[in-house]
Amino acid sequence: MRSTRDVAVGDPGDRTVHISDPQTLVLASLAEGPKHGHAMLADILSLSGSRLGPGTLYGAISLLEEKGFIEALPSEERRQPYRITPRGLELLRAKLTTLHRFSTAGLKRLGAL
Amino acid sequence: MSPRLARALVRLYPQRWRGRYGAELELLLVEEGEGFGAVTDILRSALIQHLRALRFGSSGIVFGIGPTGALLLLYIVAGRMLWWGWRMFLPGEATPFVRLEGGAVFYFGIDRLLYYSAPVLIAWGVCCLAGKRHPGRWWPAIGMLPAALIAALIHVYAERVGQVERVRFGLVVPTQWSELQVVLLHAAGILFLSAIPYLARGIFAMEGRGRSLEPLR
Repeated sequence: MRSTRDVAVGDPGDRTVHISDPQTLVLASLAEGPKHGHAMLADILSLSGSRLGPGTLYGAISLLEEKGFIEALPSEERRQPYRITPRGLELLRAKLTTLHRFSTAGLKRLGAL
Repeated sequence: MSPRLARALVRLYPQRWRGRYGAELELLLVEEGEGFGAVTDILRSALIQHLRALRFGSSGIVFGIGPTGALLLLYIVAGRMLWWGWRMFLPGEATPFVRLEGGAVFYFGIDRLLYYSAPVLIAWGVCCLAGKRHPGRWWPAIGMLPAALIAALIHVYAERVGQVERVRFGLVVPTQWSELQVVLLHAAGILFLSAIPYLARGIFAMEGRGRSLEPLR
């Protein structure tokens, strides 16, 4: 079933990509610049008010890295920074556009009530 | 969170995942993981990673629970055939397990063959698939263990309730040592028949290796 978690990336007719809320938050955090896990948690908290659990964060990171939407940079001491890839930026843009379209339509309906 | 608890929690993840992200997660847990919520978050996340490892390692499903699933499917087909045959050839009989004549002998013969040979047919199918996907590996055969045990324990029951023919399956759990011996012997027999292609492949592989050691002429 299609939902706002499934977004079409690239040309029309391309396969949709399923992206969960924690993955979206990680991509949105990395869109500002490379970060390690600790900095991502703080940034996501300030960005959305959501506090991700460490397990949830690394679950999202592992999925995004596996699909090539983020990549690891050389580690700094014991911390491992990550950065968003061009594919990740494309996915984030598509996801946010979908959400924006959905929220605009929903708010319009609420306004009509 | 204490480093000791953090290390213990990270050990719950699949080994491969832990090798890649374990150190980072452990550090983050020590710095950020506070309270019961962090522990439940790790438990949930570790479970998801184990499920993902299963899903992406589709071979685990195919060779793990695949044989048992296929066996149950074949038993359903055999049970359905028995029910049809009973209605078609033996409409007045209280049970289909009676002396047969004519076409019924052939029909019920095929059904019986399917029922008894199902585990071995599946095992040979597994062997063919394993030979293509994981040549030289023995672990795809592990899924045959529960299938062989089910095959040794399963019994088919047929009873007429009024005008309705009923065919059902049940697992007979042995209650005595002698019964358990029969079940284990039955399962071992199925596993031995299942292993024939593996053994044959092994023998041919050994033969091939032997030939390759001969000097070229």
